[in-house]
Amino acid sequence: MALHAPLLVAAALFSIGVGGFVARRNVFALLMCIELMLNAVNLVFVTFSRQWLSVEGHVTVLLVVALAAAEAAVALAIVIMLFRHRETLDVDVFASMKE
Amino acid sequence: MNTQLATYLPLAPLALLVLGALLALLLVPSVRHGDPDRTMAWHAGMVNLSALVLSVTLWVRPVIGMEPVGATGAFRATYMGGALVVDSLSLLLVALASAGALLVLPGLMAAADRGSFAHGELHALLLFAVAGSGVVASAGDVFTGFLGLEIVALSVYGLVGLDRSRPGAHEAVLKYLLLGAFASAILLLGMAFLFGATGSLSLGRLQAAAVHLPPARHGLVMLGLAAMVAGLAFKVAAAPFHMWSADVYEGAVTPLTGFMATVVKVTAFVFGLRLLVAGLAGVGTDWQPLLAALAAASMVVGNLMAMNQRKPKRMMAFSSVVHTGYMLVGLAAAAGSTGTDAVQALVVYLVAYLLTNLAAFGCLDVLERNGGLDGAMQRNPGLATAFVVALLSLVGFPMTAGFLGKYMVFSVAFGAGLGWLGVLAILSSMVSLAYYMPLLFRVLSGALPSPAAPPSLATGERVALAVSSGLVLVLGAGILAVAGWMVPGAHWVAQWALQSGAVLLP
Repeated sequence: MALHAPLLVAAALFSIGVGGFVARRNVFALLMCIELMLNAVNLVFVTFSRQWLSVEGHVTVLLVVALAAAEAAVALAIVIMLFRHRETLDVDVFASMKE
Repeated sequence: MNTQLATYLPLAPLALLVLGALLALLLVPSVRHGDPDRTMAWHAGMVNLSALVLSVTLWVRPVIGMEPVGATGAFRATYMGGALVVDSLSLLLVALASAGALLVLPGLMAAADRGSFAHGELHALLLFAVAGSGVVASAGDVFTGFLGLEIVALSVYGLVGLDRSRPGAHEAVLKYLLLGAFASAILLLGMAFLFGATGSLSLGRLQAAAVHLPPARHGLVMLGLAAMVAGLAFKVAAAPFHMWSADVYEGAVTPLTGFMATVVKVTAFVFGLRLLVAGLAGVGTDWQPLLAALAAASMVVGNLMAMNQRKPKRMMAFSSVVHTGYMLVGLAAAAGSTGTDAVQALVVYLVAYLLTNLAAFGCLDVLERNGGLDGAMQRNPGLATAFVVALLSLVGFPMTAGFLGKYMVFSVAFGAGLGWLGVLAILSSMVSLAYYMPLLFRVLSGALPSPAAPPSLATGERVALAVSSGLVLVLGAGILAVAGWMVPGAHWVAQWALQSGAVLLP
């Protein structure tokens, strides 16, 4: 029964992440939304780990944190490159390829 | 040698790729004298070549620690409590990924030589992408496989963004990065649900849990399955999750597009094979309709979009969506009782697809920077012949690799009770003539551009294109096996694919 509360928080976090990803137009905001989604998933892993009384979920969370850090490193390098090129971080500016 | 140590020998190809990639990172800033670009290229080439040779050798001659599985000559070795596995399928993927990297290397070097970007980082990132493929290949755990996919994805984001002078590169890398990270989060959510329903992410325990699933947990498994399939559909660019692919393929330099369309896609399919066929075979009736729907959507949408493209590269991007559809047909068929045949057919298709597209993108790259496709047959017959072979194989013309792959995949679809999907796939192959044929005519008989200079291409590119298009024909001759003839190269691929099916299914 007690497991429902953290799962509801995770669902809320994930939905905020998805909603923000769809609604926002700034690259930084989009990256933050993805981080929110990953943290929601972490919460789900920890909750289920508690339910199964196993450490596998906890270990997975640590690896997801490391993965998010690696992703952020690559993403920020790309953001710097984009900003030098166009002087803006609005994703709508980067939409020239169409047939 | 110490026997304890000798049991780790099957991990050698993976270890070599990881160490080679790390060494490349050290080499980039430290190689100063001589020709640093050549040194890095030699390093990347040698690491990939050794990984290729090692994995083929281990397949031909299994060593201590590789236990036989079934009667097909397949084998398996497990490490770290089952988190890492080396079996016939993993060796095949390592061989394919390193061969793919070797074949795109000359094209990438030529692109870097044209002054667009740095050599060193290119080779380091390429090695990391291949090492990531190796991790996916050896994943005995869903999360290990996911980490491998992310290593591949992060390296490829870097590779796409490397070419700062290219007009579309910024847009391509931004779209790829944002949508890729979003898809990864969805994939991870699916994994969390799967963990919640079964209590483990290890493929072995997942397999056991999926067979005796309590009805109360079935909903959670379905939720996890749907999220993971959607995430994977993004990674392989299956409709309706394909929208990024045309822009990213167009924005990247063409040899890199070839790498993304082949090695990255094949890697994601091997992850799908391990997750669905090996891990979740018990709920096969649940994921089969999902994959069948994705396959049908990819074939229909891909064909419609490909017909309306004017740029050959965008057309190829959508054609690759259609081919993803065919591969999904094979994966969907693997859910039934004919699983081993379906896996064999899919793996043969993956090999055929990889070789064909490497040849096609390689030729496209050379032709596009040398005055376009028109009349290429008169200017450079050799190059044009390679391109024609690749195009015919994409269509599925008899005696090419594409035909063998399609023949096998479509037959297992009918055998697995997915007749409607088989019929749709055959119709889709016919429709695809509408956009491959104009390209073929342009190469064979198009008007020559006014300064009709013969295309310039490096020796490495010549060799890579000759090898990939030659192998397309060798594999294509495998269809003679239907008449009882053994064709050496094709026979080995079919045997290797059969063993890949045997290690996945109990």
